[in-house]
Amino acid sequence: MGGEDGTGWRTVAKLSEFRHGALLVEVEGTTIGLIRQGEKVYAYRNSCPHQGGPVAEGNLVGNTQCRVAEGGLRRQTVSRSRLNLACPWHGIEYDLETGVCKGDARMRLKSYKVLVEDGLVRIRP
Amino acid sequence: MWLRGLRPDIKDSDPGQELVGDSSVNTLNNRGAAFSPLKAQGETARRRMRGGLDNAVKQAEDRGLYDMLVVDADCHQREAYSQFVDYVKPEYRSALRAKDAKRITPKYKRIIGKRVMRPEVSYPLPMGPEEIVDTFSVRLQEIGITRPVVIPDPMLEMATDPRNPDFEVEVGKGYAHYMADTFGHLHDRFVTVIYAATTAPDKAAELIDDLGSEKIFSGVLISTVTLTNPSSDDWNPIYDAAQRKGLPICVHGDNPGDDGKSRNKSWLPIGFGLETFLENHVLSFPITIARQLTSIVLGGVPVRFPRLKFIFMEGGVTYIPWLMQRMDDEYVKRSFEAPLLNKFPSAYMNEFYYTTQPLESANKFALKNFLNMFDYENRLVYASDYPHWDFDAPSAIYDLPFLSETAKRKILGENAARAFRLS
Ligand code: FES
Repeated sequence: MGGEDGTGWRTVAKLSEFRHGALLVEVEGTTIGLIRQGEKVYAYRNSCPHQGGPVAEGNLVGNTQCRVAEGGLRRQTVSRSRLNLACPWHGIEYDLETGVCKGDARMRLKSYKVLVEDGLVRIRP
Repeated sequence: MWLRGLRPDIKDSDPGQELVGDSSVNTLNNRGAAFSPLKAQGETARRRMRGGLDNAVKQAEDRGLYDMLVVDADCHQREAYSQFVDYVKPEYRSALRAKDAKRITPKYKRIIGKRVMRPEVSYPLPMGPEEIVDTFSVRLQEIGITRPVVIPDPMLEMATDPRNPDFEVEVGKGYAHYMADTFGHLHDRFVTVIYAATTAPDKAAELIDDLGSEKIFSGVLISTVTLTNPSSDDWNPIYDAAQRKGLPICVHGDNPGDDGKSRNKSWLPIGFGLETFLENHVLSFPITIARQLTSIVLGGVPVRFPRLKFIFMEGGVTYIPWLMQRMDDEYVKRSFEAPLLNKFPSAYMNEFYYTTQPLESANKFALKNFLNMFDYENRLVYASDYPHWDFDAPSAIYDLPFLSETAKRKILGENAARAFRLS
């Protein structure tokens, strides 16, 4: 079990390797995308529940939201803080925080727990 | 937000904290646009691109697709006329080049650009012959597709061009001669179709007669946005020539005015007044196909040309039972308007072929019920629509939980081999 330190956590990258964006790592034959936002790192399997596309390689896009104002008027905005990961194959969006698909809550990305410690990124596969 | 890179080996790992890397993957350039060779696997060096098709290659391996016949009944080159502009009359060349520039508006780029990041979805770059060969005889093979049928979808807008009919004829001829001259010798790798100018059916028939025996051509393409209707007697020369050559008529859906404007005043764009690409795309393809299909069936085209095969393309599959049921119901009430028919319209529809993409599979249970309403096992033909934004890899069919192994084989390849007469 290379890289596993007996606690179930596996060190997969150095935080300094990627300031923003994603890094792909292979763990026991599974490709996992590490996505960094500031000091926070998310880890998702690089396979989209839709048709298996490389979801972790996608863009982060602001969540498009719309509220209904008085008289039924629509007020649509794109969030700067709430981000979605858009799969590059067909553009389906997943909430970066939860991995839940925006359009169909039955679809969810396979996620991994992440620990950032001493400049290292560790995940629990 | 760009992907920074596939993780290279980490050399300076702390003792006891082995870092897991994969030395066989190369670093991506951070725009993800360039080809970057992966370690050669077998005979073909794979390319690793951000958002590329590596996962589809893995799917093909896992599902044993390389051991099956998989025909892709509808895939595309990137939309560009400039590839074959030298094959049309000089007086039309600048108009054709201008069409390339107009086709891809900033709005369209926005629709595709932010979310769908597959590298091959880049417009409007024409594909040179080398890239065409590479795409259709190598790249699609890697994802398990044995035989692609390349459909020239830019052509679909030709039927409503105000310069017609000569313009439509010329462009159809130009494409066919370009493909025959450049790729004719590769017919056992991929095939294409002859575009039929519906504003000049006699000329279209001449082209089919001239080139229809070339093995690179496996069908005759007509648009779903046409000024006349497909059961019109004017179209008979096209059907007659296609039937003579044993080529199926391929009717490919289109989006007449996805910016809310019609390309021609005679056609109310389906999306007229709708706000979004989504709204427009939900309706335009199946509805324009349904228009042609209704005319073909109720006008008795299958009775008039009994050996002619039809393939309806890119409408998904759920419109099929709806249209069958609706036509049957109305036909009973007004059969005097369809006197050639000697069976229900749905029975004719059950003899046509339909491409599967975009497979409407959000609710698999509903999809199963839709399919059970017609002879799906023998009538559906897989299509990827590669490289477009809503493409389906072969796994979209293979992974349907309710399909038998036999049905998978038929839909993925055997039905299309029959429809297109592919060996
Ligand atoms: S495979 Fe991810 S959006 Fe389709």
